[in-house]
Amino acid sequence: MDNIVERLTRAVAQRTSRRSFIARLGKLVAGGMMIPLLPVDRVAAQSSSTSPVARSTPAPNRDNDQTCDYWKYCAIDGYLCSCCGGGSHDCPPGATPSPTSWVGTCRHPADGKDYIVSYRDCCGKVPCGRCLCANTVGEMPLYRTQLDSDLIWCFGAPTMVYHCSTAEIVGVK
Amino acid sequence: MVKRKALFALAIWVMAASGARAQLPPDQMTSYKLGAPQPHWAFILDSVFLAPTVSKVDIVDLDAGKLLGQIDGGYLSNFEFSPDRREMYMIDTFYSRAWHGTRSDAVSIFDAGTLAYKGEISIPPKRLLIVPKNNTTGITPDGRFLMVANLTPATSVSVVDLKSRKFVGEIETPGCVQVLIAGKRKFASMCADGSLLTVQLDDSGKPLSRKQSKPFFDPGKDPVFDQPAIVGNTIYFDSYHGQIYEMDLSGDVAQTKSEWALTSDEDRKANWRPGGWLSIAASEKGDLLYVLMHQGGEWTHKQPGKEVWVFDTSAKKRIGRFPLKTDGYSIRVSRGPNPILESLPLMQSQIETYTAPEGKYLGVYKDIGTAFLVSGP
Repeated sequence: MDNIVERLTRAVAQRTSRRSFIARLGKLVAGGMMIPLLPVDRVAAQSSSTSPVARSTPAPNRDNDQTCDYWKYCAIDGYLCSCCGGGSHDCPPGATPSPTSWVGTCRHPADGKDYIVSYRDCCGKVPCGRCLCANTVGEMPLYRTQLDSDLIWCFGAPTMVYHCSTAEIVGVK
Repeated sequence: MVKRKALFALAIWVMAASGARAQLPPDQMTSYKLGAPQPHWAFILDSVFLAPTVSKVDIVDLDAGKLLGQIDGGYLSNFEFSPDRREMYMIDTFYSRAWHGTRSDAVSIFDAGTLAYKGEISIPPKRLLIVPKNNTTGITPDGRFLMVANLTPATSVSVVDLKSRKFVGEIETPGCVQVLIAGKRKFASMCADGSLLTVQLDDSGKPLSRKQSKPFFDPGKDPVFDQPAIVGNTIYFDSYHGQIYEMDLSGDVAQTKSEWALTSDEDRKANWRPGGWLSIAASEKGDLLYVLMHQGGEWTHKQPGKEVWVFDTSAKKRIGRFPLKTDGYSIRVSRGPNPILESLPLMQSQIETYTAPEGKYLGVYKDIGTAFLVSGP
């Protein structure tokens, strides 16, 4: 778990260049928000107390990243960047990866491991409009912000205009 | 001479016979007025998914199946109607160059009779940007204050005085989000630990009291949906697994009034549970609840509803159920006489109507864009 936290922290640190955003995060912490800032803890906490968070996605499309059934997309919500000129964890040309994201947990169909997946939006262009998916494994309402997929997750990006969604493996749970 | 007279007579006869082929009078161009809103009018918020920097609201007479007018907004805007029905508001986000540039947020004001734009009130560029949900914005029942939920991702609420046309302040709501209007000058926010924060405003829109309840549900075990049905001081939350939490907001701090199940053992065995985008609606008096229900397993909370189940809130019992022609994603029940249930399916650009509470199918209105919320007078 420490390993995941370290990797996630580093990943966030690498992406977070805007001072205003850091200031806002600081405010979030100072404001005494009850949710821990890093999402990993919450996913872990949730899996211990509730029904299974992870599930393996059904064949036959679990390896096709241009379908909603692709295994990493178990909780993706939005247009797939892999159908929009990008990849499963890469933005289409000219779109900006958001430094912030919400998280889910998906089981890899082959190795059976539960991976923590960071669902990062690509921002700065209007929606691409291809391959709309609304998967909801582990998805929570707004009051559990970090697990909510309905928000525009472009905090810290140059604009909040949403283009498409990606799924980035952060680590194994 | 005789010949000329005959020709003249013939000409007159031809003109008369051709039935006033005389030229039409010039048209006089005007703009229609909307007139007083009727109970079966729907205000359908179209988020225009492929170009969401310009949202719009279609105003539709559902009885006549007729579009009456439209007002426009910005990026993923919310819509509000003043309680006296004299003004409409779009709570907007704009970028100076449409999809980039400087962000500015504003409350745009429209005359409800003419749909003409009247002006705007600037608010901090922090509003919660989301596929539109209820309770992202709200107006106090007296029409004085409009509140806007912010998420940057720090959470707060902007308070706008609609009388003085001014933004009057921001109320921090750490760990809690949304604005559930639950009383004269009162709102509640839903908190991460399963509690409710109740904030009472004074006459200047500043917080008079703010009290957080004890957690009334366990978000780790059975989360409630974040778009409950609100009737006056009472909020009905439905949960992923089909519980109803009836919360009383009449005091300074939210209290649980009742907790009961939407489903019987038999229903649960058959995997019936609530789901959709906006899965619950209350009748005007609050005597009935309507819930979108589907059969599905864990984490199917956003699966559209196959049926609407109707519950009596005092007996806490189901009194009816009816199938929907198209699975529903969001529902609403109209106010006033002869209520109808309005159902928006998922991404199908249409709204269906049914009698309420009987559930007799009335019809469908199409071409409403990407709509997730419908409201009405």
